[in-house]
Amino acid sequence: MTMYLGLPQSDYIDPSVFAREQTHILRKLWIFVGLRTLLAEPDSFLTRSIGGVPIVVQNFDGELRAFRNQCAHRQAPLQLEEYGQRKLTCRYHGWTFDGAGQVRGMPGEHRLYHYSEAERAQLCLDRFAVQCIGNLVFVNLDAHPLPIEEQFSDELRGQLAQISGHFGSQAIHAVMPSAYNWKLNFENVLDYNHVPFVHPQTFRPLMQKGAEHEPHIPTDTPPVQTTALRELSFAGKTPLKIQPWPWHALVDRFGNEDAYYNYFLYPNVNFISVGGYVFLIQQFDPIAPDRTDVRFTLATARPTQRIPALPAIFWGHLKGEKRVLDEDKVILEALQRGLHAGGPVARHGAYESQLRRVALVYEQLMGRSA
Amino acid sequence: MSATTSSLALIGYGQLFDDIAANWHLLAHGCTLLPLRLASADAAIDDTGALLADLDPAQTRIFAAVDTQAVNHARLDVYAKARLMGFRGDSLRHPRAIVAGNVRIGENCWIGAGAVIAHGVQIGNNTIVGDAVRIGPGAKLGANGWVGAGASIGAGATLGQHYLIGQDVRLGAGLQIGRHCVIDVPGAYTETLADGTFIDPLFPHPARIYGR
Repeated sequence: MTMYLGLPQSDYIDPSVFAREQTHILRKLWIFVGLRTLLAEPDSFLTRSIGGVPIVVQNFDGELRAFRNQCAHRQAPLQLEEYGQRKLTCRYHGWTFDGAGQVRGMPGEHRLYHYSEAERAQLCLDRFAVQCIGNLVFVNLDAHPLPIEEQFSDELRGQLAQISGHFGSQAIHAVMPSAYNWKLNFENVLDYNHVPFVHPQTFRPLMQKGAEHEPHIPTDTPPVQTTALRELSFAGKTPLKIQPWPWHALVDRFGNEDAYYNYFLYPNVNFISVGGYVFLIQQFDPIAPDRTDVRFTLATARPTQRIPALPAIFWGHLKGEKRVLDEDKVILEALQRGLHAGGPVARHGAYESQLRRVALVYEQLMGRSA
Repeated sequence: MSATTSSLALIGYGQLFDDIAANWHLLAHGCTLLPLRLASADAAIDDTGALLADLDPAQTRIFAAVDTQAVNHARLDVYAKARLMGFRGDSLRHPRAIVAGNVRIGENCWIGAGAVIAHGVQIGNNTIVGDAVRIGPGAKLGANGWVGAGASIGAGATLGQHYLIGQDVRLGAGLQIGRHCVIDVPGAYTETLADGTFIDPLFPHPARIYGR
């Protein structure tokens, strides 16, 4: 075998490529938006931007609905905060909307607006598809959404539902702007071989050592020729030394293994769990060809009794994860700065076959090749 | 220091522990210091029990001196363990701190050198006020807090329990800071913070806890 060539450097820097990704990938696929556990209350909501489109996901009588987060009147945002709890009401002129996205009330309607009945019927919000896999909420902006099972296999969805069912009802959330293309970060999390070199003090010491734990790719592994979208999202598990904390006895842990659970959700999510005690969803949100918002959402396993120090536990773990990310960031930002049109492509080895699969599907989604 | 007890057990570790031990000659007022150094946070509760086991709560007061670990929960663990064993916590004030007459200060509080605390201020238990901190009139500081050196808290501001106000942070008058908040980037703050908001040099934007 076998050298797999990566994507051209222009795919990581070209604004026209980025614009096409917005329409052909981010507005076509199911995109993770947040945790259902944080949307449990009536009128609780979250706001996001997917492929440049502002959206709001709101709880209406227990059902999650997604809409374009722009008022049908003057396109002001209906909800401002990242997470919150309030009626779906525009702050600009007070228009209110119901769970179907129809305008319900306009203050001063009969004095000020004089819409005809037909015109008033048009005053509704664009609605988008929402699906939950356990406690993970996904939105699809496409008018004819891809069946979610084509993106995430039945087996994977079952695993995700099981593990995310252990989330507690609180989570800590942080957004870290980063100066690199979003694809670099997804490729980075797929590349387990960087860990000893980039994280020798933070992450590597937690991994089990010894030949039996060293990955070994058989030389007769058949080369990757074709792949399907759903093959890009999968689960992995690695033995890990888990530092014991007293609070571990106070939560409903997922599983009983001292393991690092790792879920890759194409196009832009890496969901990990440390021992089934702590869960971190890291999402690589494209902002510009060379700008990515890395979004961390960290939860613990569901407490079985009140843990007064839970906020401090969140904070401590979040800081630890951020330090690991910063080690990646140094490399990825330097890599990004050196990219230029016509530069050489990545040359992946056998262990990087998943990167090859990602590249193949990416080309298909972008409409460039079969 | 209480005049009725003869000794104070200083129990903890870290910078705060070292600072109080080093300044004891200024704080003693005839009281004997028993420095009881914990090895680390890992077994602090058990170690606290062991170190205090032979002391008489009627004759000894304690001061739990642990830095900001776990947004002051680590210090609370030590303090709470000692209280469960029947010890009372003392509060210590550097002689060069200026504290108005009607200020209320809880147990296990430290007021550092050069701090200026105006009238009507309330400071909850287990709160550390660093050197040269200025607290305006009527401010209410919840329990289990930490105010770093040179910080200022405006008049009438309120801080929920378990907070960390970093060095040289300036909180505006009337500001409300929720429970479990960290503000550790120097500068002026004029907006109210919800529970579970963390402003830290490690993060370019505040981190927030959501959910119930």
